[in-house]
Amino acid sequence: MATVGVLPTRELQSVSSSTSAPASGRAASPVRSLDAHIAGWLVLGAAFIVIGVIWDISWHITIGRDTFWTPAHLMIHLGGSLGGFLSGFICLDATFFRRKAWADRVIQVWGFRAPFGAWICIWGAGAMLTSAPFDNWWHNAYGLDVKILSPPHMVLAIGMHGVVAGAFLLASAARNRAQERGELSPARWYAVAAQGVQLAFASILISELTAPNLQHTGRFYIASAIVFPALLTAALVTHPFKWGATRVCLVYMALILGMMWILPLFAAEPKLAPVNNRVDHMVPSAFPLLIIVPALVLDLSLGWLRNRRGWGWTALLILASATLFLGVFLGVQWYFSQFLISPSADNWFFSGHGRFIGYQDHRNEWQERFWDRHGLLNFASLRTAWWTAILSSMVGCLIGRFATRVRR
Amino acid sequence: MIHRFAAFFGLLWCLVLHAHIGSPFVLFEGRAGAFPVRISIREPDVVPGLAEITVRVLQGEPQQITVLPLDHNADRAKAPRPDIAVSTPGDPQLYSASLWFMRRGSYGVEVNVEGNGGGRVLVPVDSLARRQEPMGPLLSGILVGLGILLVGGYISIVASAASQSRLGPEVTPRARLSLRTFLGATLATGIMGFLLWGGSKWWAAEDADHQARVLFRPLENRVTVSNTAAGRQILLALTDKRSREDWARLIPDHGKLIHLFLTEESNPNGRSVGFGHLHPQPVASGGYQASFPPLRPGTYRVYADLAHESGLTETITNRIEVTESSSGSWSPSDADDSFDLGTELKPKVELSDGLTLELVTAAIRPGVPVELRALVRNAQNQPVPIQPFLRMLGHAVVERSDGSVFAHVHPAGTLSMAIARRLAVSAGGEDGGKAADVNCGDLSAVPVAVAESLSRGGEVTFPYVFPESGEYRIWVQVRVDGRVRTGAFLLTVPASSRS
Repeated sequence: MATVGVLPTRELQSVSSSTSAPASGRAASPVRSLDAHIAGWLVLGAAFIVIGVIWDISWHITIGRDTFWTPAHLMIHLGGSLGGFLSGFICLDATFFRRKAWADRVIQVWGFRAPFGAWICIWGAGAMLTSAPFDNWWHNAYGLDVKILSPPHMVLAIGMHGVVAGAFLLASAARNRAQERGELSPARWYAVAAQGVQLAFASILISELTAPNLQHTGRFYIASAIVFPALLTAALVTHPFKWGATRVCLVYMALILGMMWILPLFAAEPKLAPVNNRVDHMVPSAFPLLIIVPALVLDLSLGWLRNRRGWGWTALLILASATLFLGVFLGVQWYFSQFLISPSADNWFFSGHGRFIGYQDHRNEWQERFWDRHGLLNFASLRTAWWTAILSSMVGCLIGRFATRVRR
Repeated sequence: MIHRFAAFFGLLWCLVLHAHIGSPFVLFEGRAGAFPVRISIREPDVVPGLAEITVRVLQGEPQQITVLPLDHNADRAKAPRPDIAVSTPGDPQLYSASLWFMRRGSYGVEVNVEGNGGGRVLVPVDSLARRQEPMGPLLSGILVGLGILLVGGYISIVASAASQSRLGPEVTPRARLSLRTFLGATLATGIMGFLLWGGSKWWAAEDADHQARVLFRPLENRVTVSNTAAGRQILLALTDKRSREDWARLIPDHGKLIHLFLTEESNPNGRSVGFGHLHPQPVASGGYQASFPPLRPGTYRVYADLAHESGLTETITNRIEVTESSSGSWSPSDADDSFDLGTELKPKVELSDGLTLELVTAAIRPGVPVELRALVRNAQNQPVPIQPFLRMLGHAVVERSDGSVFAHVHPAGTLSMAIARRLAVSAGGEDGGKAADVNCGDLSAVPVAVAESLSRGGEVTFPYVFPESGEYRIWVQVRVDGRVRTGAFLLTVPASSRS
């Protein structure tokens, strides 16, 4: 079993030794590993975006009042700019300046050249930019949207996701090419980090449905089944080593936990009325979802399956991955949420028992209860979540497999 | 695809604009402790929205001015730390601040003037989504352009990636048509189509929800004029079912449940304009009724000022046609009802008994508070004492000639005294309420000697902010020698050089 994880590397090594001689000639060019390094910076930019978003949400539920120039917004803009400008640089360099040097790793779109990942990053930065005037108009037409999910925010989120996904694709392509040359590129870690950031981002997007007090509802499990199986299955099949899904989840945990522990260290107070919960520090997010447990189970139990090709094996992988995810996640999160809303979790480490409640909501006996009693998980919602998880897992498998083959 | 895209962006054009009768500015002129102040609050058009506050200190030098948003119960326990208003460079007596109103409903803005003899004053304002800003052609053009670029770019990138992203290093990248390109383009088109379709559905749902639930709609009403045994009557019926909800219960404002104004719509060549100021009373059959004054036949705009239990205020509007002249004498159903057949609209109006009423203003700019000074003089051009009318020294009605702006103004400004009192009682008990009455210029709340001294000068001032340029009709009502006198004026507000 242990050798299964490195099989593709060996296979690719053998392929590369026979077919990629011309590449080694070009490999001496100054851009040989530039795209891998840039992928690292793009992941950093994507991490800035996610950190900025977590910070911004905390800002909104702690201080309330904001401007375009809050540090959280600047962090998001910095992340988006980093992605957009670096990818734009690659595009200009590969199109106009070092055309030959980049030729083995770019695709051509509208006469311009850049790696697929860089294109997606540029597209994402463009969508982020587009969302700004749209969002500004939205505030004037419908009022300031103090929620995560609104149409202009969704355009922004799709753009942010473009930057994250672009970083992942760029890192994957750099990793794959290095593998073909029989080299180990740091890009393989950047790809893991990019997926971790992607996971954190996805978890934030659905966070209005995932408060610990909502973790017994059907909507929580359906929302989780939409986003997480795709990312975990992709992580399972895409990385050229064992524990891919677990490592990705570690990055996710580190990001969310880091922010959850750091933010409350800073004093802050609400600046909008009515103040129903007089907080005196930045309000942290809730404890990250324990996706790492199903990820561990997937890595342990499906590792042998991840590189087997063919419709049958793939279908089995998708079905098993979705079912295992949902089963393990339900078992773990169902009980963990009971702990999180109990007074035992009322400490800095777990940030439970309503510590994640902002200034505008009341902290009362409801922080110890599960909310939305009418929407509790039942057989119908569990069945929906299962089907959703299968579809999600299928998309993840496709993307993960594609990322093992992308070269440009 | 194109249709979906067009449908998505087509939404930009079909948004509804809800005009807001009245002015977005709430103006208060009175005292904060010993400091005379003029406070102007521009209510936001959306919720959550930003209210712009300016405080002009008319006398004295305060140490600091702070502003604080309180809810309709003036609950200080839920208030954040007050904001410090900033003094304007070049005009140190003018302070400004902005406050977010996060929820729909009535707010009280507490202005605290700190310094020797400083004090606080609570100004009631409404936080309502009164207007939905349409997307201008420039912005929609930019967004459609960017949208086309994004959609086209995405399809092109994915199509190119499908055919080129897995090519080996030996192949020169170039756009190529292949099955993979076609499949990539199809997939990307499907994804974009789904996003645009879902996005447009979502936007439409959000918009419908906003129209139905959030956007302010004045109470629907019906106004009828009919001849009865008791003479000609005007009946205002609140036909809106929301009017039966608890929040909408009416509370009297300076003694009257409803102030109903009639203004003659047509005004060719500045000819005299009919005007009525009535106070309909509730009737058993439903609605509010008053004796209709003997106005000329014509089309009249109806404005009714309401103050609700919830702290919200609104002006509901309607239009009536008066087809026949009134016969016989008029016996008003409320002793304070009045009307005016009008004279030619000019700055100085000749009243009966040799009296004149003159309206004097400084240069008027849209959006900037101005004082409308009304001077009552006798035939010898001497000031004539003014007596309280509806507890006030005077009343003014400002109406843009096209009917798009209407305000009922008092010497204390445009705020609702009933709501100011209600807020003050919540904050400081009955004593607070009395203090608010005094501060709002209620002459029944001040000692007789003070009231007399105020009225002796034959002058009454009304602070007001003209929200936009245009032609305005203004009526000023004062009581002299026991009779209510009405003067009608015409003012042209030029477009601001800054706007």
